[in-house]
Amino acid sequence: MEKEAFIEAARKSEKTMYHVAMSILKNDADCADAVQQALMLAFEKLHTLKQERFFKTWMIRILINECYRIKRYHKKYLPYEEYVPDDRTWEQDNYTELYLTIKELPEKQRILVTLYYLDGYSVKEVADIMKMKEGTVKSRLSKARQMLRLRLDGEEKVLC
Amino acid sequence: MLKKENWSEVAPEISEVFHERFDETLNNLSDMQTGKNKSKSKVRKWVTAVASTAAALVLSTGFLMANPVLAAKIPIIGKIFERVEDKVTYSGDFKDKADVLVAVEEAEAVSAVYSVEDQGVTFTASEVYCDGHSLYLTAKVESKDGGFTDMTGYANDDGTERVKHMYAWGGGRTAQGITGENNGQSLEGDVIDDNTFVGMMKIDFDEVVSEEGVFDLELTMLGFDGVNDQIDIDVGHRYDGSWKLTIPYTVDTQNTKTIEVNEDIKDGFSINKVFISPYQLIMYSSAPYETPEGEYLSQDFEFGAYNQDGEELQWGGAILVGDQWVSRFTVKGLDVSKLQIFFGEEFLSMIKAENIDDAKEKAIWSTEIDVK
Repeated sequence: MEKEAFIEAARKSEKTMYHVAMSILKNDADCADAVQQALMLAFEKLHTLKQERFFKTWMIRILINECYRIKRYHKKYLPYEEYVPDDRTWEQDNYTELYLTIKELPEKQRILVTLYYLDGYSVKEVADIMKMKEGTVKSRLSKARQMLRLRLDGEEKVLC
Repeated sequence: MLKKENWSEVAPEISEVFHERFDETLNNLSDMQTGKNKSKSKVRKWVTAVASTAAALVLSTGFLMANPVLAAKIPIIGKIFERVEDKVTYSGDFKDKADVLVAVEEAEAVSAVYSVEDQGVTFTASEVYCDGHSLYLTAKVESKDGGFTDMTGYANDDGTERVKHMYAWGGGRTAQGITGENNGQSLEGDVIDDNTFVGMMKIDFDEVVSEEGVFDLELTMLGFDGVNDQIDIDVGHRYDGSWKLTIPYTVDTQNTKTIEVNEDIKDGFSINKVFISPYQLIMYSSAPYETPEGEYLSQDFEFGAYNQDGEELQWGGAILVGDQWVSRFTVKGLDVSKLQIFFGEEFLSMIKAENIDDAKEKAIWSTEIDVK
């Protein structure tokens, strides 16, 4: 993959990368750090990408690892949920009720919901990205849907 | 039920803070080089090499396209491994080990058995090799629409093109019901002319096959990206159809080996066994699904593999099959009498390793396995 193609492909993935980073780290500053690091790492290791059509999956996996690395780093000093000082950022005024509820899901469900519903990946793609069985992805999505329904107090119109 | 299509408005817009940093990072990257820094002399050499190759390609392609009769007479069927075995991802010397499905001299007479046409695209199987875990199949693809000379490919570390790439979606099953999927859903190889492509696909079985048998292959899409096609939208040129063939195979038991390892690493991780053929190393391992804190630990580990001389066997992907992780590595013709295996706690730590010393430093566990 050439440099120009990498940059173009990365630009097309910006929204997905933002959503994925937000599903793990929650605040914008950490997300920006994670994405910057992931882009630099991916660029440096571009020659290890065997097939261009897997760019987005590959990039998202690198990003997820960077997000976890940042999270682990913070955990060494204090619990992450306590660390996050600006979890409720000004952007939240623009969030839909459903997105705010998604953000309250357990992390293991939040990231799957983000990839599958918000960014349109198939179950198989999500399974590849997360290195999970497809059945596990399906069952976790199912649990997430149940939790969303409960937390939204049966507001089916939001979910359908 | 939740309907996926109704969720597009749920996700938030990108924040200004994030976008600014994203943009700044890409702008900085546009001034940098990918991978290892290239010296000016290397870049000059590369420019010269590309120019020479391009000139040669223009001359040869132009000559052959102007002389279709001559192009048709160049032996292809029965000799595709010979053409592509050094450039495909799972490279090595196939031509002396593979079975020829259709010999050059009998190509016209019997190719119908291994040839199928749909949507104006003809797929002809040529040679086959089976190591028990994967089927390596060569094929010729001919399209009435053509356009193959615009086909994109994969690059070497220095930016030169290594191999052309065609999409070949599909898989199949053996007569015993063992399923196989085309690794990477692709054919890697050479463009012969604007209407003809030859390449190799690697079909990975989900169980080990033994001795000999037949594999019912079905491809559902053949296609390619052209140099002017947009990336990451869809396949640039695609033909959806059905190409079904039954491929006979004999498992190579002479040049392959399975070694039971059964070593615990730590915290529930273990390496169970390895399989090695002249073309691939497969490592079977077990991993706990999550950390006690509930993180996705399983995505954060990977192995690195080197031979007795410290040469790297390149990582080729990992999938979960049943309860075991199956990690594949390319052998690429390396002599492997001893394997040096390293285990990294983070997925990228082994991929990021520059060499065996770097891998040793980053690994939290290692072992050596005698192969011969």
